[in-house]
Amino acid sequence: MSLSATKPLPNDWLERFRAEPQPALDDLLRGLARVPPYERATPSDILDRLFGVLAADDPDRQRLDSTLCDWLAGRRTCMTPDERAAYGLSRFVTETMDALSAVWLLQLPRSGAWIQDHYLELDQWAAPLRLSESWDLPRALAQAGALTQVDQRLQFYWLRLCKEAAQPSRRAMIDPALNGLSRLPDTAGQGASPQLIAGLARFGAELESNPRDQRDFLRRWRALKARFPRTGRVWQELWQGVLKNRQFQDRPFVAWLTETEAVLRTESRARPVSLPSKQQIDALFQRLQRGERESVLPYIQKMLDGCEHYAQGTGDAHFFVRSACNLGKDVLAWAPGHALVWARDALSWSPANGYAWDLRARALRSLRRPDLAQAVYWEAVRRLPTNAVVRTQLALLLIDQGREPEAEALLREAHERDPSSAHVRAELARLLARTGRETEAEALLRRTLDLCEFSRNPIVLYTFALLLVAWGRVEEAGKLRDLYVRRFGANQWSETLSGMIAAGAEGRTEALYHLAKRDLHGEPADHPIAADAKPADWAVAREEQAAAPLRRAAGASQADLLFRVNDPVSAERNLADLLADDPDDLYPQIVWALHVPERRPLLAERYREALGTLSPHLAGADQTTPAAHWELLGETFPERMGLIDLTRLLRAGADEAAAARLEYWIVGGQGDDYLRARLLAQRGRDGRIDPGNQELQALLTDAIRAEVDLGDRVLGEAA
Amino acid sequence: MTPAFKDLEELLRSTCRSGDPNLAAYGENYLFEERVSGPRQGAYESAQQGNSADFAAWDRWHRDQYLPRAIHRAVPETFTGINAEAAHSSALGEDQWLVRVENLRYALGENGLTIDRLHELLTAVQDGRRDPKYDLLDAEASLEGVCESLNRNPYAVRPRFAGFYQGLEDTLAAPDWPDLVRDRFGLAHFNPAPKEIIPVALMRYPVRDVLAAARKAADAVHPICVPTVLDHEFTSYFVPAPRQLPYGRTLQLAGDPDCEYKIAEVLHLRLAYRVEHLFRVGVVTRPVDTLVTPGLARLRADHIFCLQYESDRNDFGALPPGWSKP
Repeated sequence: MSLSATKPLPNDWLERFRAEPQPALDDLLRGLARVPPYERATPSDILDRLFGVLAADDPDRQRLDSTLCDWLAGRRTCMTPDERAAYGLSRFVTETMDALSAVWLLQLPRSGAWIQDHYLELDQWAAPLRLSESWDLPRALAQAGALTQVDQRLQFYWLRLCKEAAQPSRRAMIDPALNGLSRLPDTAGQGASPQLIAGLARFGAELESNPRDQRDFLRRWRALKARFPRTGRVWQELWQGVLKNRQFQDRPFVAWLTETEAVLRTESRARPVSLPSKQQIDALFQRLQRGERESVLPYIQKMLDGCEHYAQGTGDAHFFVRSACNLGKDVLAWAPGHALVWARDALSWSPANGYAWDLRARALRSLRRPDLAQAVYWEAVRRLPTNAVVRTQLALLLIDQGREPEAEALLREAHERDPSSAHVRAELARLLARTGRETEAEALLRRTLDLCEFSRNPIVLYTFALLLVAWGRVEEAGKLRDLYVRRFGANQWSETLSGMIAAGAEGRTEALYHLAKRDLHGEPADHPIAADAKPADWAVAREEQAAAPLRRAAGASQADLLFRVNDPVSAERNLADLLADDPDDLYPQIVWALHVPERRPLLAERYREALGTLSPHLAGADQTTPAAHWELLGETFPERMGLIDLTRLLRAGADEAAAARLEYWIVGGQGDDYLRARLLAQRGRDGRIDPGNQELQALLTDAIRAEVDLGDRVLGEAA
Repeated sequence: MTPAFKDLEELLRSTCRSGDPNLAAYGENYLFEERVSGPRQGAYESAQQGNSADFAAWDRWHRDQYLPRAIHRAVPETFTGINAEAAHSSALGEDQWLVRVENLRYALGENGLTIDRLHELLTAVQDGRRDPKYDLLDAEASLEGVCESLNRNPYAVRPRFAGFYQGLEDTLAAPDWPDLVRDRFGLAHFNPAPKEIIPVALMRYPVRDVLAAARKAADAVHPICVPTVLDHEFTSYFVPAPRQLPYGRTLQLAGDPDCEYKIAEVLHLRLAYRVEHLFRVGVVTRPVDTLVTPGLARLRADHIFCLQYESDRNDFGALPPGWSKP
């Protein structure tokens, strides 16, 4: 037997680690420890050499696990963003990546559990810290998340990540996303599971028909086949749900797959995963319309489970999300707990779904949690800047708190962005009247009534008639009531109007009472059924658990609005408070830089090398931003070229090539429909895009805020 | 190198006289170095001032300040004009093969592969024949994933030690080639515990690929260099080569009394691996017994003898009078 087999080499570092674990490990991970003969090894390789063969219950190994866990926990706060930039982002990222890889290489249970418990929080923190292909902290974190799983809690995260990874700037994330799905514990058929195929399908469904996308898709598919050798029949069964799915039919990846895999061109004998039938769904809606309540809920849940099972097997969650939102809306009045659960589930699959955001907030309001509802709406408004519904609902909540100026700003923006919304017009008029601007309110309502597109909408007529009663103009109100009845027939609203008109002075008081109600046009509130209590408690408790990041985001969004209503002092105070609590929180930094140009150089300096997210670069851009940096942003985020060029034009003046690209994007680009339409209109009106135009600057601010990646914590964890 | 400042000289003297063979080796390597240019040495030693209290202070400064600033960056100082004296001087054929050993633990874990599976996949691709188990394109895709993992390693940016393939064929024919290659490359840190294995890949690529990668980096004027003491952490399993030798020489861990097994070694700028660069995969299984017996000092002494012999320089590797351990 060799000497080395019985007598390990003396190791000074190991002795020091036993005496002072934290500083010794910190030195090692930062590359400062000299550990012969491993001077040329990476820190994680040194740890592997020293601890890799130790038994799980060895004291040194357990000490390493707990010390590494503490080291990772302290990593977020060990340096401010400025200190980190001075230290060297590449070095910081290298060290953190190495520590993360040590966790899964050495299979350290405590550190692994800590990563799982804090994954979404870490994901948000690490998101900007991608410097290049090699210095990619978000990807290393995702790998660590995938390789330390002990349960299914990250399943939705991986499925969402598969979809996001289709964007060129996020393409590197497809490997950890598929790794995460293939390593979900306890799935049927470990490795080659339906979830894995669903993830690959979600990735494929977002890809374009170009050689790079084709290569990237087929490479992942082929590597999975080599990694999980299965018979053609197994693959055929796993893929058939996807290949039969109508949503995917025209997507290029289906042709790429079937062209390369002969077996996938044939039908499998196994029964494919399928959706509930239209008859089943219609029957449920009919039962709801007949007034069934508690008895129908288990059937709805079963149907939704079926839709979700289909989503898990195919990656297509369209039916599930739509059904969850529609059914949630129908049961909201008497089962808000169920509606909240379904809304959260829908958001887990589809984080940009406005209906799901609205349903989530409405349910919270019904469950007497307006504070949480408001935080949800703030985030919905940030994510969906052109969605008039969530903006209006947020405005109504602010009115409840007496914050009329902010509410008015939101309603005016909602009106501007969606002039076709009768609800927004009616609410704006109501607010104007309530704050003593009756003339403006009346003019808005008259203009609205003159537009034929609103002739079939009862809301404007009803609101106008109610205001006229409140103003003592009962004769005019009566004429509108008559018009209402002619158009929409007699109903509870026309009867309410008739009663008030007939009541004279008392009717005026009643009209004022109605006008002061929060939800003027909503269905009457109902009492939740007993069977809703348990799901409601559960869902609200989950909302509470996840409320902190949502409230922080809401705080920064409120600051943005305060800037816009000319209250910069309050806005800056809010932001300073948020950053005092967490200096690394990106969103408050971005809001601040968007509204206070003096803060832009600071933001740009902090994140110059960090190319994981686009928003700090756009928010921090000004005339001093080097041309090379604009080019680098374009190369890194090609899918956001239009927004990059627009920011460049408005902040620094675009060069000829950028201006030409911008023109092409405005006319024929993809996404950002509202922004492009406004740019087109402005260019048509003024002959050019004017960087001094305040409306465009406001639109840009919204677009950059929407670009901020707040991670998945604000979605709430799925059921 | 003769240190310009008194405090560093004193530190080196005490380090060389240390009873710790590792410390002595670090000091000797600095003194034996002949390829660091005057400007590079001057810049290094000026910046190092104030960190000569003991070797630990110097080493900490070297790791904490010098390496992150000068070496661990997209184009390390190694490959810039300041290191012209270490630039590889003899003509290199673009078709010459370089080889390098990579640890595969991370890449295998990330790609969910075992070393046996990887070996099967590589064999399928290299044979190019229809394999009953793997489709050729599937196997290639899997190997691409492994290369990508290696390329994504944040340490991949550091100067890469590589040797020349010629002269390695016999070693690769042996069933235990990973152990033998580890020894010939002087990779003492690939030192498994008994019954442990370290999965490795032998990467092989032409000089042409290194030069092509270097053309994308404007500052990389000397993309292939002879390794010097300043290009990495201080290590005792490295000895700088005399300036008469056109390459570095690896320290053969298994001992090399006849000076036959050293590999000509260079440092080169990073290149992104491709599937065709994956030449062999295997496992290192044997601990480096020679670290204990005969031990580092003996290995280094034998190695320095070979360097003197090959360069015809009896004076190389000799400490100034009075500097040796009493």
